[in-house]
Amino acid sequence: MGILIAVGASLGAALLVAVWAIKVKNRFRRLIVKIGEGDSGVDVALTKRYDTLTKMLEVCRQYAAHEVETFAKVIELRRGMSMPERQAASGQMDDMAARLNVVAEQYPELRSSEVFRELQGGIRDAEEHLQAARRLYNANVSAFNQLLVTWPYSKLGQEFEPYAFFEAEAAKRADVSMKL
Amino acid sequence: MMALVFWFLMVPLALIALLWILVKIVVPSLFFKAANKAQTALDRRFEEEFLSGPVSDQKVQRKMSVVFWRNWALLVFGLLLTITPIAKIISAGKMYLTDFFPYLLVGALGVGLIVLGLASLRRSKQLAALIAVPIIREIFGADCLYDSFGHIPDDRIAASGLADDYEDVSGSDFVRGSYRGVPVMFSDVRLTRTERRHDSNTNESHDHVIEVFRGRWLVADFDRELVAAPLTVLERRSGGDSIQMESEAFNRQFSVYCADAHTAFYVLTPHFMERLTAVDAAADGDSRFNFCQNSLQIAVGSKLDLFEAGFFKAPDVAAMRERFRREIGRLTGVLDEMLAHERLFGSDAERRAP
Repeated sequence: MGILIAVGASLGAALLVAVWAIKVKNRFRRLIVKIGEGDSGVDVALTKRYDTLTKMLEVCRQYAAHEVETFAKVIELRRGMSMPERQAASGQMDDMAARLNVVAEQYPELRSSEVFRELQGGIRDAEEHLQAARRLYNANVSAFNQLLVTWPYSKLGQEFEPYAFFEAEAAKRADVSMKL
Repeated sequence: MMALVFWFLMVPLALIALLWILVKIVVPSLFFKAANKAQTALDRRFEEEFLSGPVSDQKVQRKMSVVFWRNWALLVFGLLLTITPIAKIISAGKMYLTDFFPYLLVGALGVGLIVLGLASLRRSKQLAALIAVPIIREIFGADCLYDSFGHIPDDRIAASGLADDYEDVSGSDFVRGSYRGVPVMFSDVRLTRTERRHDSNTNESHDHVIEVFRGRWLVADFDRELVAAPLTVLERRSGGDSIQMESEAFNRQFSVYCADAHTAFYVLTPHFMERLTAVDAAADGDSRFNFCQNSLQIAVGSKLDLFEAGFFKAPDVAAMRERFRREIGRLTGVLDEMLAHERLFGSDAERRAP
């Protein structure tokens, strides 16, 4: 009788552990799916920003062909880029947006052009969408990575690798310095 | 035989009918007619004195203090007059009807005073409204509509998804105006449901009114679509497929529901989350937010109606004015925060600065 109870208890405990392990594995997989969704959100936002910047470049070319000639073909955006590559592309887009604004400052006609102003608005909108996509992706990555390093989940997550964050550019992360 | 029928059947029946007419028709009509007449006269005097033109703060303060102490005197004195005869009757044991009658009269007088005291609470609310309405007109526009008995329409509350499991909607102090160019509606709202509970000791069932929500409700209708999918931010609750934001503090306080996680992150910027957290902390942890199509709805729980002067503390006009501003400011602060997010919530038309 005693042996039967011990065997029954062991089987019950093993069953509980198996159910728990399945739940944890599913949690890992759900988070991976969410990270994938966030990842594609980043792609969409980057593409939207890239397209708007390209249009802006074309408009600028009509007014200041010489100045913007060197800007072309600097940014490379393709499918399947790693997160650091996307970060680099995002940084390049920041540079290009800043340089286009500098050019616009030199050409009042360009600055007052309705198409140019609409595109500027479009870029701000795309940047906000990119921020949202970045935060969503990072929130999911953070949840996944935390689970991966927390015992006992870490034991079941050995097959997974931590994901890289989509970090803000170094210039934006740096402390603001103000010279008076 | 006829005499027996007359004395033992006809006379009692006639007496019962007479008594019924007296109790049901004559006394109520005389009593309520007199009470209504007195109330109307008092209301007219109050309107002439306070509502017909500008009134100084000192005068309002004086009147509020009089009303406050009068209400307390009526309630305390009424309670004493009600309790004393009851205690006397209980302690006396056996009593004849003639002995019982004076106590009954005193008790009735006590109940009357309590009723008068409770009815008089309306006056302190009217006085509080006297202070609050100019503030409301200042914030929501001089031509805003104010209805002391109105509330946010039932269908708007139902569509918000901010409260479930309620059956009845009541409220007061409805305001319809605009804030920085955005049309808004604002009122106190009380949501309740009735539950039938069985008492196993007495084997009886009773209806209990459960308060689901009580507090301020604001609806802002923007002139553009705010969100791609309805977004609801509720008090932290377990279960359900809520979206985890990146802020642990925010996640501890709220649960975010939206079919599209990107929309949630797009609308709830870190700064906006901080503002919602502050509103929630000021409301003792009962604030709810809903973004749907072009409207934002905010519900902030509170145990006190906005225009309630307070029952236990002698009224102070300056402090009340400060409280009204603070409470309305909590809600408009959320709108300010949204309007600062120009691309999402800003109008094509130029908005006025706060």
